[in-house]
Amino acid sequence: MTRKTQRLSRRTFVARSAAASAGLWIVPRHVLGGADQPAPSESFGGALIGCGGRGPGTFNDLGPSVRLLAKCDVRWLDRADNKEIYTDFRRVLDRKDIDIVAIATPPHWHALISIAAMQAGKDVVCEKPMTRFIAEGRAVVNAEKRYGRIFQIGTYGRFGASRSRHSILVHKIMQSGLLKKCDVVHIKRGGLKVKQWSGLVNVTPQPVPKNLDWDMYCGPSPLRPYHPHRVGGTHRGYWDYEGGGLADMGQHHFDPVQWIYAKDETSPVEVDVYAPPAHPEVCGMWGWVELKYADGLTFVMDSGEWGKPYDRQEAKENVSLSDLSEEDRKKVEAMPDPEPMLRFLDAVKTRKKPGGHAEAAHRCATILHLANIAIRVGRKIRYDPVKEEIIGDDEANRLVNQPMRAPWHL
Amino acid sequence: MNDASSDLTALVNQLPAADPDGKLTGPEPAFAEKLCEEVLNGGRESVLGLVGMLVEPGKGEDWKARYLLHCVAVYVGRPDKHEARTMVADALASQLCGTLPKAVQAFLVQELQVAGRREATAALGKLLLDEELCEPAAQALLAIRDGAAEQFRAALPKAQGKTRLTILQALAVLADTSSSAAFRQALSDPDREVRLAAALGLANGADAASIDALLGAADVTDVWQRDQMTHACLLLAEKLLASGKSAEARRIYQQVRDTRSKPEDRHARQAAEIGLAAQP
Repeated sequence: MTRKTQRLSRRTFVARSAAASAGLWIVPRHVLGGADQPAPSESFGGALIGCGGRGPGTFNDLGPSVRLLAKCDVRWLDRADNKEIYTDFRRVLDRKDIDIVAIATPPHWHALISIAAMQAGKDVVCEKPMTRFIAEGRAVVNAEKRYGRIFQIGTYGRFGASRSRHSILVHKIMQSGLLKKCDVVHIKRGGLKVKQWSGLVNVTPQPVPKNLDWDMYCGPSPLRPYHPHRVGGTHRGYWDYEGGGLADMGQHHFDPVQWIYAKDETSPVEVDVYAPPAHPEVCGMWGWVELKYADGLTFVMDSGEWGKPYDRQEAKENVSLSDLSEEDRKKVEAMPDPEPMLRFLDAVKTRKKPGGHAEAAHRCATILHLANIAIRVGRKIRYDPVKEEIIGDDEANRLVNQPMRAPWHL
Repeated sequence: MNDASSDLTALVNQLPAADPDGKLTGPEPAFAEKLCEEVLNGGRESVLGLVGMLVEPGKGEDWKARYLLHCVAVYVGRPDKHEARTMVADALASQLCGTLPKAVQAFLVQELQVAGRREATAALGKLLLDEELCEPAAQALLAIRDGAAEQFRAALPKAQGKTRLTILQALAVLADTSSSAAFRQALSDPDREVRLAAALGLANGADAASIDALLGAADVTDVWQRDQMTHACLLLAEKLLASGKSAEARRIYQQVRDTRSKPEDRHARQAAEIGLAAQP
């Protein structure tokens, strides 16, 4: 008997892997591998990679059962001992006693370190924004599934949203697919720190501080002449590392909204923009961005810091059961409420997906990246949320998957 | 300064000043479009005129010229600007490998990453052996993609050190199956990063003939290499499965599962089990 050759697309394979990994991971962690595994009630070995700014807070949010065994920061060439203090995250990941990694570097490192950590068998909590460009997010999702790891994004607004009766109802209506046309216009006005997180356009390079591993800091991004504005919180103002205030604050705002409107597994299909031309290296001012989903749902970011305010449409958030036929209302009312979202450590112990897992976080980051791509090319773009490509605009599409500096790659 | 230069200087100076904090204020989009059209109306000479205003970082104030040049590069990416895009890309490419400071050439390469197409790949390829310009040129070629692999392949035999790693990794990212022999040879390179790039190339190229070599390369004690090479094995398995070679994929998963028996390899074993469970 000959074996039939079966072609399996990578997408199908990865999807099946997710199902397979869910099944495998019902068994508690301490049972797998036998006597050498700690019981779920015991503590975990943790590492913090990126110790400035939010770093300590990101790690402390994990709680006392995660012991801080290693800290890593590229600004510590003067104090690294490669026992507790590191500058090279790879050496941290080599450690067998590290179970959980908290990542609070600038975003250009988020995906690579998340993936490497999962490849090394660690679970990951990663600061927002999840990624610097869209293809990174898909690579993180694939790693989460391939290795059966736990990944959570470090923004938690969706937890509160998931406990609101009104939000749950809207979520169920949207999730049901029974609302054929959605005319919701959700507008985020202000609060995106556009000017605060803009970069400087006319700087003179300066000597690299002795304690800073500048090559490692730049990592996958271009090796630019050093300037202190590219490091610390102000890194947000440079496309090399982040995407301005839009990327920094956008995931906080849109993550719960994405959940409410049941868009955790898709992305906008059309993005329009009003902004000055973008600078090649520096994130600057912009006016507004309008993003539309295939079902008509519209998100708007109105910076309130440049140009005329958004006035194409009025805000409108009124999804309710009255939008449905009586028969469809009953179907929605019969739907169970979504399962309560798991906190990170509960996900680690049960091996079930946490709230803010990789796919959801990637789709939210995609909203921000599409907005920034539209800003950077200064024109309307169309996006295929299945292929994850920009349609008919090669220049814009080059920003979906950006080359990395060797030896770093997705 | 001749009339054309003064006109261009006047054009550049129409861009708004940075604010007191040194941040971009940016023109209205319609006004910026007008400026771009004026540059394009001046043709190649205008584009080269803007290039002539660029200086090395820290050697003078040229941020407006850079900004306007970038505005033009982005502007000609519109679907109805094909001829203008070709003109701009040709003009930028013509200034590579010349007498301009390397830092300025790096900026032009960056703009070709935005606006360049296949016609720019030859000029970019000539920079691949330059220690300073290899990396930006590689990134521009990777972004352009069409015609890139042949440039990398041509440069690889002559490359050494960091340029060799950059080129080999670029070929790996492009999944260049014509480089399989080079990848296999590089799998035993003394440089760990070169070995890892080679493994990526074999995995991305779905090279079934390299299964044993890749599995062998993953069987090392260096933890980082072990995990990265194992990842390459798993990636190869996925690619083989997608191309209908399920038996070969299964062999990889079984080998990884069966050889990762130590507690510290538990994650690799489990990844292999996930892969096996997902197969039809």
